[in-house]
Amino acid sequence: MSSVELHHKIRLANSSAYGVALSICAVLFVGGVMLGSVYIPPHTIVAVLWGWLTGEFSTEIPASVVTIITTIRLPRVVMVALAGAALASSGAAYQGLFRNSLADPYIIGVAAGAGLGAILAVAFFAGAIVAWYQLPLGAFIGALAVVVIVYVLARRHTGAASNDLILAGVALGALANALTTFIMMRLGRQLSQLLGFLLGSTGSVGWDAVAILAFSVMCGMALLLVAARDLNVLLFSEEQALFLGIHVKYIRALVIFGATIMTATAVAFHGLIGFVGIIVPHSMRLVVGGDHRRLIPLSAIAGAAFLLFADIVARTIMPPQELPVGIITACCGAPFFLWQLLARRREV
Amino acid sequence: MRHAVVIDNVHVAYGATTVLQGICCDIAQGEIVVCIGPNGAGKSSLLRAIAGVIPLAQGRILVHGESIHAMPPAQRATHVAVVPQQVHMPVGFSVFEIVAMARYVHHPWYTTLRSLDNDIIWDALQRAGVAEFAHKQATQLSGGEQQRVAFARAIAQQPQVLILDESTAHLDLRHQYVIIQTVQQMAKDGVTVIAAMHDINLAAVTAQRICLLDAGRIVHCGTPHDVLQPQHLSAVYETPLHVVPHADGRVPYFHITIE
Repeated sequence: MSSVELHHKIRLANSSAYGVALSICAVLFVGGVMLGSVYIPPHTIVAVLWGWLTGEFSTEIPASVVTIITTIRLPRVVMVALAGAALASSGAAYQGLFRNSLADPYIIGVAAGAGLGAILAVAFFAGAIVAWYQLPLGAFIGALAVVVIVYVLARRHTGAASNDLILAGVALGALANALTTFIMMRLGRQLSQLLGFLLGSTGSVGWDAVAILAFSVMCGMALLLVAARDLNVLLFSEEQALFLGIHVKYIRALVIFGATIMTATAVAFHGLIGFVGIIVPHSMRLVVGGDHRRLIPLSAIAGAAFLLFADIVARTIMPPQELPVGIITACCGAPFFLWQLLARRREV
Repeated sequence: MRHAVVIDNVHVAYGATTVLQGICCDIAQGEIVVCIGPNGAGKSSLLRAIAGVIPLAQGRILVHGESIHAMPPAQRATHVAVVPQQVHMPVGFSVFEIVAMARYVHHPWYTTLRSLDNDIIWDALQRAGVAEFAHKQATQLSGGEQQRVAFARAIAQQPQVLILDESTAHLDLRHQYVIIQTVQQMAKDGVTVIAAMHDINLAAVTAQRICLLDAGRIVHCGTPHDVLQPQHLSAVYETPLHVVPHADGRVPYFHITIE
C-alpha cells in the first residue's frame, strides 16, 4: 500500500470515528431529554424545540411538558454534555502535559482543588463579588493552585513523568476534600447535599450556569487546540521538545490554563465527577492514536456521550431516587484505572 | 574563515557543581568533531550547552555568528538538531508521525504538512534506514530502531549543526556503519557535526577532530592521530590501554590491556 493510500485510509478512519461519536452523543442527548420521572416521546421533544425556537408552541402539548423540557431537562442535558466534554478533553491534555497516562483531573487533585475553591468562594465571599462568577472563579483559583503545586512537586526530580505526580495529586486532593467537607459542615448544609457535591451530581441547573460552562469550554478548547500539535512533542520530554523548537513554557501555560478552566467550571456546577478524564481519552487513543489534534476534540465528543450515558443511568437505575452521577463514573472508572495500573506494572 | 560553531570560555554549573570549566573550541562548517572522555567528564553537558537548552554560567556559544542562547526555541531548532542518548517513544504515534514532528517548527499550529515536508520526511526516513517501518507504531520498535527514528527526526529538521549524543550506542554494526556514513555525507554537504562517543575506535574512524574531556575540561583536542595517544588516554581513563595500528593505517586502534 502506498503512503498516499494509507494516509487516505487513516483520514477516513478518523472521520468515521468522529461520525460515530457524534451520532452516539446525539442519541444519548435525545435520550437524556426523554427519560426521567415523566417520559417524553421524541416527537414531543422536537415539537417543543421547534416551538421554543420559533416562539409558537402547539396547543396540544401541555404547558407542564414545555416547562419540563425547556427549564429542567434541556439545560441539564446540555450541562452534562458540556461537563463530560470538559473533563474528558482536559484529561487528555493533562495526560500529555504530565506524560502520565493516569493523570486525570480527579486523580491529580485538580477537581478537589476546584471544589475547595468553589466552597471557599461561597463561604467567605458571598455577596462580596458578583454572584454569577464567584463559584467558577473560586473553583478556577483552587484548581490552578493545585495543578501548579502538583506540577512543581512532580517535576522537581523526575521531569513530571513518574508516579510522584499521582502521589502528590492524591495527597493534595485528600487535603482539599477534607477542607471542603469541614467548611460545608461548618456552614451547616445538609449532609446529603454535601455528599452530592463530593460524589458529583448533575441535578437541576439553570441556563445561566449552562452559559458560563459553555463559555469556559469554548475558551478552554480553543487554548487546547492551539497547543495540541506542540503538546505531541512534549510527550518525549521537555528537553527534547526544546530540541525540536517548541516554546515549552508557552505551551505548558496554554495547556494548564485551558484544561484547568474547563475542569474548574465543570466542578463548580457539578461537584467532583471522577474518572471521565481517564476512561475517555484512553479509549479514544486506541481509536485515533496519540496525536492531540485528533485526540482532544474526539475525547470532548466521547466525554459528552459518556457523561450523558452515566447521567441517564443515575436517573433511571433507582427511581424515583436519583444517584449522584459520580457513583456511576466511579463504578466504570475505578476498575479501568486499576487495569491501567496493572498494565503499566507489566510494562515495567 | 568564519566558524560554524564558536565555543568561547564556557562554564556550566548544576547548582553548586561545576560540570564544564573554560571550554574553548572553534568548529568549522562541515567539520566532524567527536568528544570522548570517561563518564561524568562533561560530554553530554557540553552538547546540551551547544544545543542551547542549558544556561551558561559564563562564556558564550555562537552558531553561525549568533548566540545560541539568545535565539528563540523555534529559530534554534532550525540551526541545531540533537539526537539524544535515549528516546522513549510516545504511545499512539507512527514512525512517520514522529519524524514529522521535526517539521512542526516550520509551520504555524493550524497548518498541516505540505508536500515539500513530505519529501523531506521520506528522505530522512530513508537515510536513517527506517523507511520500511514508516507506518508502524514507534513503540513497537526495538531500542536500536527507535534510536534510528530519532536520527531520522534530527535529519528532517535540516539543521546546520547536528549533535549526536551517544547516538550509535544501541546500534548493531551494520546500522552503526549506515549512520556514520550518513553523518559523513551530511558533513560533506556542509552540516557541522558534533558528537559524543564512548567507543574510541568508532570515534577515531568518524572524527576529523577529537576533543578529549576530563572533569569538565578539554585536556587534548586535535586530529585523531594526535589525541589518541596511549599516554593521553591512559591518564584520563585511568586504565592501561594497548594500541595497534588500524588496518587502514590512518588511525590507531585501542584495546584494554588486562594484566
